[in-house]
Amino acid sequence: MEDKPFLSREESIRIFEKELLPHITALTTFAYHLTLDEADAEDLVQETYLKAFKSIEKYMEGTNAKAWLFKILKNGYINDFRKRTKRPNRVDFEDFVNYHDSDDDNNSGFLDLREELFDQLMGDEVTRAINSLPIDFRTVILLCDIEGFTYEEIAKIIDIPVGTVRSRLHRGRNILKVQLRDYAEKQGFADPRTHVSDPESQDGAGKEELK
Amino acid sequence: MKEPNNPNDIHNKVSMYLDGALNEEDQDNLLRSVAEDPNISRMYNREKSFRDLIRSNVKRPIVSQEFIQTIKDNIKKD
Repeated sequence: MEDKPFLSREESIRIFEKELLPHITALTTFAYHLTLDEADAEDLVQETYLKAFKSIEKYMEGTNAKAWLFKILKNGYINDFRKRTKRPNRVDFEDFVNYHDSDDDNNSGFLDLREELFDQLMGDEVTRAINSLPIDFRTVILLCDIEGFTYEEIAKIIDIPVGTVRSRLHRGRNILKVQLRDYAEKQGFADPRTHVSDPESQDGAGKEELK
Repeated sequence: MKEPNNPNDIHNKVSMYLDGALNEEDQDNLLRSVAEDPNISRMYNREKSFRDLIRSNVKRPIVSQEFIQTIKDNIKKD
């Protein structure tokens, strides 16, 4: 973003409150699923807003404030927060992917989840399943499926090619489907179509080297 | 658009459609296929159910007014 003419303090605060603060709920959700802790998430969001305010001259009013904030938060998490809290950088990423290759290849069937009861049963499990994903997959799923960013926006937020965004989404969703299907089956919900040929089960997509 | 007939291709189209990443022509073709082909319709419904399940069940921490006020106060004294 290009620098703009000097903003007065009052003008900076006005833009901050009008365009940046409304995204606090989305940022907090993203931060929570990165840090896996509500207090840490609040710290990360607060740091993000302080950094954004200090750099507000770089923000062009009326542009994509949400994507700008998410990028600041993501950078803050990787560069500062994770080091400070000693979170691992890449949690057994390759091992995890290799372990799940068989699931991905053989059966990614997903239950038809329209029953309200089942939907309620799944509540906590969805969060657990998302939070158990390696950070690279978790991030794209949160940005795409929860926050509705486009592939291009996600690519810019996390500095990876669009093709990698798509492959991570594909793989991450398949892992989630397997986890939720397994949970559903343990709860006694059988899907008669589980063994029906599924396009994802024959799929080679998403197997390229992930960044 | 070339009509996809491979299940993988169709699934990719469904996925891209739900991600808002299909152009208008491909959208029209896909939606026609969904309306006409029960297998594609089922694939579409399953993928959409999955996306809806994730979106509606993911934990979203509550943001308190106190927290918002703390941020406002901090930037003003920064």
